[in-house]
Amino acid sequence: MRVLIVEDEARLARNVAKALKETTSYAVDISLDGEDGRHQALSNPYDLIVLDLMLPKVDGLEILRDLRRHGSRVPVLILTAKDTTQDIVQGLNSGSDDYLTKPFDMGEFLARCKALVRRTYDRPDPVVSVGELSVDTASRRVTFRGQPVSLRAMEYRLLEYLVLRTGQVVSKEEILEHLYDFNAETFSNVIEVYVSALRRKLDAGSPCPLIRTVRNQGYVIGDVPT
Amino acid sequence: MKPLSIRLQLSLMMSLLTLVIITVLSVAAYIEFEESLLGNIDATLRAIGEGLRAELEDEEPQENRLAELRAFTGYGSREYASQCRIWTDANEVDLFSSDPPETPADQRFFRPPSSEPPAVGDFRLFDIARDARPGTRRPLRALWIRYPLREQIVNIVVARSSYHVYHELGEFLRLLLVTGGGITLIALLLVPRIVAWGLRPITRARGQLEQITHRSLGQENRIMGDAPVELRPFRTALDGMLVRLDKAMRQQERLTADAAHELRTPLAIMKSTLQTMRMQPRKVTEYEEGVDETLQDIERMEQLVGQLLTLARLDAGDEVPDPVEVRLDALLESLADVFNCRARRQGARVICANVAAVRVLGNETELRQLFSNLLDNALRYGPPTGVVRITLQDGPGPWVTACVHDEGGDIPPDKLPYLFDRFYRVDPSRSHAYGGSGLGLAIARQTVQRHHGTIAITSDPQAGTVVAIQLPRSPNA
Repeated sequence: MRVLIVEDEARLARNVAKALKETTSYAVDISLDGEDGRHQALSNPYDLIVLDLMLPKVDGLEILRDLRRHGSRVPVLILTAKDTTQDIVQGLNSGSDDYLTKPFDMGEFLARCKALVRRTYDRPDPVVSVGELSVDTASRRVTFRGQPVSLRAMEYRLLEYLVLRTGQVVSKEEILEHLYDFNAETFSNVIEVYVSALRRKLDAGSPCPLIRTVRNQGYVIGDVPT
Repeated sequence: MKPLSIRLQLSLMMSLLTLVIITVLSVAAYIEFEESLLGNIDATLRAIGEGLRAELEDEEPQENRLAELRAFTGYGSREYASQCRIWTDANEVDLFSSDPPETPADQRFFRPPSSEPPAVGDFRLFDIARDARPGTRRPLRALWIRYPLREQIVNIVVARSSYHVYHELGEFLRLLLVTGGGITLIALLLVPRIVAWGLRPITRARGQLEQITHRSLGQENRIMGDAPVELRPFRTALDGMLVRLDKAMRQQERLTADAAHELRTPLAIMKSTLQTMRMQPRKVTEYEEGVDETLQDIERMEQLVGQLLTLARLDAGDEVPDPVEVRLDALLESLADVFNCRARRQGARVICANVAAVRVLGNETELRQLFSNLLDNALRYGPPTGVVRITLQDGPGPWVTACVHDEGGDIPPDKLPYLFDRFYRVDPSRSHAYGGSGLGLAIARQTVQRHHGTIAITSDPQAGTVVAIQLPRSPNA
């Protein structure tokens, strides 16, 4: 999952990014002004945008309206010190999905972020099960055949993305776009490395592999509807 | 004393007026009626009197005359009879009396009139037993003629009952009292209603005023849209007041919202820093870093709260409490030294040029704070390695003019008028990259106004930004 934070208070943006990375293993991009924020939001396929309203150069609401005008369906959480009912109504009516006022509780913020991402992938239940695999996206616990599986951060990130898109063929480009922030250095076969690590930990030696490779298209978990 | 309500005052006045008018009309009608009734009798009496006199002057035998006189006065008929007595001054014995002859002397209708007789050749009208109680004697109206006849003074007194006059007058009085009282009573009942009807616009206006809350102040709820001419100035004044109140209210609301926003942002940062730190065990250096950052944020909040308090204190009083003479030149030179040290660290300079020796009346701490603020702004927003110049001149007129000049000049002209607004920043994001709360210039203006001065800013890419302050010169200088 990849999140964009548009917030002009650098320290606050950094704290939020840190919390997101540590508790959700999302990839996080930070933008410190409205102009850059709008550019980032329009050019990358984010799974969530955390948006401040009073931004240098371009106002937050303007970014939001531009996004929606371009047909973007990305969930947007407004995080602002503007706390009047009027502001909240205006924010939601401009196309945001959630509204949180500063100062906020980090736990609540993270929970709202996760809920918004679940909704995007049409998975209201935080626990996603595919066959004998169960992934709790809230607590990041993975069990396979009833046994807990220990995964590294990037492995979990990949598995969560694939599981949330169960039944869909996911291309390598999509995986790269959704799992890495723009500072990350990627190399061409990084995905293969993590996929093989996952296969090793989850279904080693199974005649019917959990993660299947679709030639020239990508990877898929679960049955592909025909 | 509590003032009476307009309704009560008007009601009382109108009722009183009605009462007076009715009374005057009644009295006039009563007098007119009485006069006309008595006038009738008097005319009859005078006709009879003249007739009797003519009869007496007639040379006729005594026998016939008596019968004639009796016929004249209607003797014998009870209803219309007039009483009559004729005598001469010389003789006590009546020449003629309408009383029957057998009537005893003391019961005769006319005893010699006790009142003053009229002059010879004149007549007098008078009342007899007018105030007699009903049933005893009937009141009479009488005419007394006194004139000379054949070397004698003849007195003729003719009288007719005036009972019906007083009876009718009494009836009329009763009628007047009943109708007058009735009208007054009806007026008393109706007048308050009429007055209340007349005061409807005021009652309506009160209702409309009661509907106004602090939220609907600015709405087009213009009260008394149908106000009568008399209330229009009142309405205009009230409208003006509502508009002013609304403006003040909006300003206050915006200020509160801005202050809340400014306080929330550092709070949000601190909370996020601390909560993020607590999410998992960290290295000691990370904790130290978090604590340091939080302390910085607390400092920023402290500064903001301090400035808010300063503003609130300045708002509370319009005057400097105990003004003293302040050597403005000395104050500016010492500030220049202090700020020059800071400026050097960033490669800038603060110089004092053309400083005239002037004194102003004011509070030294507030003035020092004022110029510190301006120098701080100049170093903060001017070019990092520029020159900040302070000038102070005596004039124009009764003023002294202090200018703080920096080499920046990038304030857009359309933003200049708002620079003194609270929490206003040229960059709407209110970024804290440069520090500053957006209250500095608001405090500066408030301080200058308390010193009865003016403050103005000009900004130009070539000439730089100049803050000019004019303060009144101390009268003792």
